[in-house]
Amino acid sequence: MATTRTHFDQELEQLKSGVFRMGSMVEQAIGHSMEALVQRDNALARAVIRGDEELNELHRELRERSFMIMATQQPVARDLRLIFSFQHMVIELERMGDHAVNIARGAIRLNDLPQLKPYIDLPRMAALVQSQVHDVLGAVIDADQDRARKIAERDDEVDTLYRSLWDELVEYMVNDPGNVQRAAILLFIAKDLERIADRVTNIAEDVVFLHTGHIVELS
Amino acid sequence: MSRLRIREAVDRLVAGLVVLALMLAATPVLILLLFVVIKGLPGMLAPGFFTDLPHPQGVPGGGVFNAILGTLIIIGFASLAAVPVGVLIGVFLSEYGHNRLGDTVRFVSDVLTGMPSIAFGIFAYTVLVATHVVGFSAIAGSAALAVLMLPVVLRSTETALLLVPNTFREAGLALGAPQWRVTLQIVVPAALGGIVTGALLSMARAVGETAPLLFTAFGNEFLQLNPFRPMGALSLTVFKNALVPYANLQDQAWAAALLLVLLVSITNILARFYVRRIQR
Amino acid sequence: MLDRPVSTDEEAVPAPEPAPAAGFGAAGPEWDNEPMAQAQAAEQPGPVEGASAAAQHPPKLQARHVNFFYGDFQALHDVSLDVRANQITALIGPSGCGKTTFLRIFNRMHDLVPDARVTGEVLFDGQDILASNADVIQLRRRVGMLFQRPNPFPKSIYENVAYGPRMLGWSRSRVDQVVEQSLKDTGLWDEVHNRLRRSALNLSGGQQQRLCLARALAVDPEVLLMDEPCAALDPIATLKIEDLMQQLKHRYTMVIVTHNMQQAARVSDFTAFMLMNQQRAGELIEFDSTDNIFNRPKDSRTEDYITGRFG
Repeated sequence: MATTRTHFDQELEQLKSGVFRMGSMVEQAIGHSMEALVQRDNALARAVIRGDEELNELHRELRERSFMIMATQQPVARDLRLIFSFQHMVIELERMGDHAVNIARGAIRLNDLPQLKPYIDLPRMAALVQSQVHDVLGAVIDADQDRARKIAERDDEVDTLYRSLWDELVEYMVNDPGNVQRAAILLFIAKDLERIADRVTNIAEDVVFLHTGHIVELS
Repeated sequence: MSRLRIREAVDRLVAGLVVLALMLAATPVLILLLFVVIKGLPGMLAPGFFTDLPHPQGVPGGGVFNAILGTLIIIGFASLAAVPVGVLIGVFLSEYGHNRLGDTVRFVSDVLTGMPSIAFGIFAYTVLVATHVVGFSAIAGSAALAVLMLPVVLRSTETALLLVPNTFREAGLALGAPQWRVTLQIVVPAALGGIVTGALLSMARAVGETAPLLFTAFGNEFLQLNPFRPMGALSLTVFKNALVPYANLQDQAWAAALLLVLLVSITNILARFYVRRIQR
Repeated sequence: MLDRPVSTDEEAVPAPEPAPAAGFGAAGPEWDNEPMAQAQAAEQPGPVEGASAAAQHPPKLQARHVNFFYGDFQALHDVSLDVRANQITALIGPSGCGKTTFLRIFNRMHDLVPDARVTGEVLFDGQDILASNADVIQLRRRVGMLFQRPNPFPKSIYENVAYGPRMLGWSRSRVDQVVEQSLKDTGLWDEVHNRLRRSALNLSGGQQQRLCLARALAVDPEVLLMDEPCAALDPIATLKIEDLMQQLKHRYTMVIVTHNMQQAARVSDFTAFMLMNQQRAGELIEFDSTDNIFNRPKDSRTEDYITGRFG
């Protein structure tokens, strides 16, 4: 539609591009944190931890921006939903960044210790979560609610992997108390991945809300 | 900069022209007023002007007592007829007259406004006097003046009513009031100032008319209060006394003219005063 | 903005009936189509949830295929909608879309316009008010009106409110009582009770508009039509009027035309969006609960309008 609210539309565009930028930063942080674990790369892990400050800053800026738009432009309908859902996405992305930091911290601690076991299921789970993050950000950019719904369905796979990892790691702990520390760290990392996947579902719900105006539960 | 100068110069020139035009227009009026006051004041201040009856020609002194009463009586009867009828027609035109009948009435009224006043006199003479319906009489003069006043009253009433915001009518009707109630209780009271002004102005116009009275009220040197008899009037006094070669009568003519000017002015001032009070 | 979806406003109102529309978050997809369906086809019994709302707020005014003409020019084209009892219905749309024309049909103010012609039906409690034998005087007493600019009569404050009751021939004491009650209902009593005999024209714009509201309430109407009642008022006076609307909702059915979309969103339960068609005749584009119109309109033209991307 012809824009009679040029300034407003520009503000919305800036908000959007900020969210997209934040999404790609988070995606990268998750990838790097897992890489730091698998490759036992402390420098990369520390880079992820440092990078979180930038994410936090962007998160703060985008939330302020959305409040400012709401206060000055009185958005309604799709505009209001856009700001609402983007604001919520920003919060979820910031938390996802925190999970990546947790993984990086765990990696640094594990890297001082001998490797407990070859990492197989954990990288598989990470790959799955990463693809989910990537896809849901694509659905946000393309404004594709059908894709968002499908992505949310993939959360079950992550949950299944998480449960089997849990069983495996608990078995390690039971078999040898010397494994407990490392297994516990790995368990927490798995938990972080599982939480990231949950937040992907939340973002998918935001995409659906943005397009339908209905708040749905996708899981 | 020079352009600005030119513009300023043009501005001053135009302003000067406007003032000049105003003075050109005002000067004759002022001179006339001054003339009437200077010529009329001695006669008006002469003893007996307000209280005595006219003396026969050649006899010094005398007054216009009968003419003052005559004017009041003639205008009174004329207003009694013209104001209510004119107001009613004005109400009709404004509230119900947006149709062919209304347009016809408006046209007739405009024609009447433009007619020379002597025509009203001849008309009243033909219809009332020559046919001996009433003969020469104050009432015949009133009739002639009433017809003359009518278009003034009805058009000023219509204008005053049209100035009443439509939202008053809508507010009244939206309360479930029938239109006649809205007209009488809301619209007419809201326009009362304008209606009264119109009526007073029509009276002011009629009071100075001579021509319609010549063939109707005719004039009378004696005190006559019976409206069915010939009667004097100030305008007739001016007309008749100005034409005789006696100084005292000519003075009375000027004095009567001054009195008419004063009557008209007072009426106008009253009208304005009334409107201002209503509007507050 | 965020804390003002219409349904939350409703909950703040001390109206005896529960709020009919679910809140912003509670609206599930299964509930979605119902208000529209009820509103547009009220004669059909709605689904269970809708049925109770319909029973609580039966249609008070029902426009059926209304067409309106000024001479040869068609100003409204086939407008049908139901105004529910004790609810506030807002008519929004760009200038010239016919919303005021439509509003004025409800108490036949269009009768005042020469050459105006209406076809279709407008049922008021089931009676067709467009019928030739309809009692217009009685209709206008039952369907009051508030205008764009405050238009108190150039009379005293008391006379303004007493005008209607006196016309109905009520006794002096009853008129006094009604004047006091109406002024209290509009929050004016405390402000003017010691100067009732003073001219109404000395009041402020906001007070004048509330006086006009009191004047309308004094004849005990069932419906109040409001034609941009706050167009000439400052923001505070506007909020006072809106507040009054909410307070009076349980006693009257209200229809408001407004250019101010935020106002429609704030005060109304149902919103109708109108637009000129190609022939410049006004059409009803979308009619739904205000919650739906302002949060998830179905028609893209509605969305463009309410988000300010139109006109």
